[in-house]
Amino acid sequence: MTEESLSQTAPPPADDTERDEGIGTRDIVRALFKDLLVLASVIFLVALIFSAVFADFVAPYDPLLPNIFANRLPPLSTATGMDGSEQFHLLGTDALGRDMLSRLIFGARASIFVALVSVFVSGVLGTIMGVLAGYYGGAVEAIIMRAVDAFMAVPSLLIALFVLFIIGGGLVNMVLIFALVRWVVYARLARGITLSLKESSFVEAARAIGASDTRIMLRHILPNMISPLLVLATLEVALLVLAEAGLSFLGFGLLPPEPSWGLMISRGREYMREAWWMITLPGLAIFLTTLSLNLVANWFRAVMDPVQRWRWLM
Amino acid sequence: MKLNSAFNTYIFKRVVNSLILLVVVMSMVFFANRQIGDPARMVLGNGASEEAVLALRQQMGLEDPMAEQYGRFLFGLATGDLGQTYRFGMSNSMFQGGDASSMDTLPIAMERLPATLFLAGATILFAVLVALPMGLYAAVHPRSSPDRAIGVLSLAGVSIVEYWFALILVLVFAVQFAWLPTSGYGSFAHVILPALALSLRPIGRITQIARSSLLDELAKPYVTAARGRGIPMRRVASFHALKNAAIPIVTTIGDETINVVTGVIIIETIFGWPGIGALTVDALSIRDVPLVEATVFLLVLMVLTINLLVDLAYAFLNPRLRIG
Amino acid sequence: MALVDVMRDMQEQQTILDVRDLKVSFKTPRGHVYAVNGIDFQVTAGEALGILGESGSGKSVSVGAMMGLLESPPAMITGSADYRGTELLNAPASVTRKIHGDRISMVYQDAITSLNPGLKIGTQIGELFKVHRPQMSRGERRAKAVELMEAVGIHSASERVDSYPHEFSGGMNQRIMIALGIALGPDILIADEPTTALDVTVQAQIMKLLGDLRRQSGMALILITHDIGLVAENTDRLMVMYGGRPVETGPTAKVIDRPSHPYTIGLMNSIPQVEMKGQKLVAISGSPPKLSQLPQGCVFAPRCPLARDVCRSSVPEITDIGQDHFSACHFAEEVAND
Repeated sequence: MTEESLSQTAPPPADDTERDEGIGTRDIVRALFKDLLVLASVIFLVALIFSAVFADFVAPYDPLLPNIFANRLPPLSTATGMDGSEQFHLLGTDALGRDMLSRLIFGARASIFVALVSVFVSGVLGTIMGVLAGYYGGAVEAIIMRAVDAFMAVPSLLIALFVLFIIGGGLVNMVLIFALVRWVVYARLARGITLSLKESSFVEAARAIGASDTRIMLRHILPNMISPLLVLATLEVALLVLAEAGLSFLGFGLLPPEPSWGLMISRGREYMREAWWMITLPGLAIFLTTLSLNLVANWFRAVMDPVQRWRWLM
Repeated sequence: MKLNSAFNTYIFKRVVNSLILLVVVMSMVFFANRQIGDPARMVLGNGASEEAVLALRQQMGLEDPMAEQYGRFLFGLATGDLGQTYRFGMSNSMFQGGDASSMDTLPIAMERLPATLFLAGATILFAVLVALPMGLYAAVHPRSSPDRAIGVLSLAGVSIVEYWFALILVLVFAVQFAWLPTSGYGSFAHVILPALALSLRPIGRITQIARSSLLDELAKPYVTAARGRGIPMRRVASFHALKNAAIPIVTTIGDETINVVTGVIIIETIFGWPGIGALTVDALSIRDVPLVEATVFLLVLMVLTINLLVDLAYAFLNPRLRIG
Repeated sequence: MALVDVMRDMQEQQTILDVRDLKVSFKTPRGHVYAVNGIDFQVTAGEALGILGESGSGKSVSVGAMMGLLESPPAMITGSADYRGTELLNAPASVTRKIHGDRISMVYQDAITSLNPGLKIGTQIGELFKVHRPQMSRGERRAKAVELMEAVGIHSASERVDSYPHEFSGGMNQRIMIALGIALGPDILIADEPTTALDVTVQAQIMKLLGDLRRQSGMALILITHDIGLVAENTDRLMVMYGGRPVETGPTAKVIDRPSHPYTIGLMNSIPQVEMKGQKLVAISGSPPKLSQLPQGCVFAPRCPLARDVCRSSVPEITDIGQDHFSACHFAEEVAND
């Protein structure tokens, strides 16, 4: 094949100047509106985060307030509350008569909080480790990457389950354990990118004019890995929402009466024959959240990928 | 097949690495387990006298120096002796179908291995059979409507909570329609729901990787050249590109098998499947430390074996590792 | 002259490939890229046609369109390419599959990446027979593969037929590509920069091999290259392309002798020649055209030292300047006589 690409995946770039043009925010926004599914996902996630943050104002009722006269009401039911007022339960009530919608909204807060904080901690830790390993090489790299290999060889869920068994569940322990087992994925990515950037001309040039190591890492290497790191972090949020649900289900995660989605499924299981909504709705909430995150991450990766980008912008 | 020496060295290194890792993980499990309370008290219950507890501690070797205990543990690990279960009286009911007279944890756990291997094997086989054709089709028809549908479906597969989906399956197929048993072990019908629940994630991941690695491969010059020789696209994709795209696909199949082996922990509990996963949860819930050690040992051993098998598969896929 | 010879002579004059008004553009996020903007050429049986141009001139894209290698969309192909009565452009794969690789075959620039790294050489050659000659047995296919490898000068072919591409040198891989190209005795062999990736000594061997095979089998050769020396030595007729258009065509010797387009002259002045020792090499100033925004007039005008107002406003037609020699320059005669 010649320099004029006959490749079936991409048209030949018109010339060299066009090849190097970056992608602007406007291009991304424009592409977003061309993919309705991704747009819907973004809107869903924004609404979800908004209602999780402002759960106290958004949720119609107290998620912890039981109502013995209104237990296990199906969606779209109306009941008389403990204070005598008329209450409308859009998504029904649970076994103790607590409003499902309010519990789902507060559950979002717990589930997303655990996932986001864990991703932030593990992402920062892993990125630092990866950049250090890639930049300095030698013993630093050997030690860090040996630890990464060890963590990668044993499934995260198994480690998490075992450690939570030892130290007990709860919100803080969960964040700690997720950070402990997941930093390695960022470290591996960051090291790979650092290794390739280290040899690049702009890093060599920065070194030649006497920039310090710290400055090169912060100013020249880190900014160039932001978008792959963002994609990875988004996928990790989805993964950790699922993991939280699994661990809470087994009793090693968040503890009742905290309304988390995993715990709600676990409770709903006992009543799944009589009250399908108790188990179905929290599972759907998790599904829609993780699906949206995965769709957005997938799309963002494609838009950022110079080989695939042109398809999405068309 | 003749393999060259570089490959033999590589596999040897991987085996040694795996063994070291196994010892490291088990050692961490050993030390972690010593932090969760007095095993003697757990065995005897809260009502036992201090003297009785002390006597049992001596009998169990817990009064010996830590180094000596650890040495014994390592020796046991090497000889396949991971200690005895704490729950002497409970073995009959808990370890259904097993040899109730045996208190050794490793045989108890080993008895559960076939059920887990069967479930994991069925899951992965089903997942690969579904995912590969979907990934192949999507890669050969990029940006077509089926490709977009496959893309969203595979994302949906990795977005679902497995055990929740398992419960919904039970609700629909076992409770509502009563087509399949809700739980248990023994017939083919029993494996369908748990395998289906476990297979969604592998199907999604393998489809995605098969599609993307095949697309990368189809963009290569040799594919263009083969098409220019009048070789039909279907043959180019399945005969030329698939084998070269196989390394990331095999890696993913390996990773997903590992995920399935971890996933059985929850799914076995839900379906009453008598495998390692259900035993792990039982052992954790009654804090039977030696039994936990035995199940973790087997789970980690399975994971390391899968990784080794993946490494071996690379040799068959990469002609450069072979002597022609 | 015997009747047989006359008939063979007539046969050789027969046009086997007729390309008319071929245009290829690609849809991209930043608008259309016009890679090929209307080319016409004919190939008669047994002749060697050179297509000369720098990267971006559209030479490989034109061939890609004919060989069905462009994905559509994003590629938009119009015009016609008629091979002995069969239309090749935008035709269903079931039709073109019988021609591609069989009647018209192609040798690619980079042999090592154009061969499947995961399949044995014998398998790759054998596959060609499996697909195009399904009646052949496995043993026959293998024997053919060995025979072909010997024909392109690979020693101990019967053993090396089970080797993988990475076990051969670049030159040997290019020989294998050629074996694949001639396997079914095609009417036309298209060689797209067949020697660019090779050492100079190996280049000469490969070109000699192509020439020998052509004389033995009577197939036509389309040689695509940016190397004016290569076309001068190996082709009968020449088409010079620039910006997706032919700028000059004619018998190779005539075009080289009496170039009638400023671009051809520029190309010739930019290569070192022994007789020009001591003189300065003259590079063509400026850069190749932006195919997404073609100039209004002559594509070459922005870089042309002789460009006048008319060149910037109207596209020059390709016109006969005598003796089968065509040029797409408003001042072709002037340029030729200069």
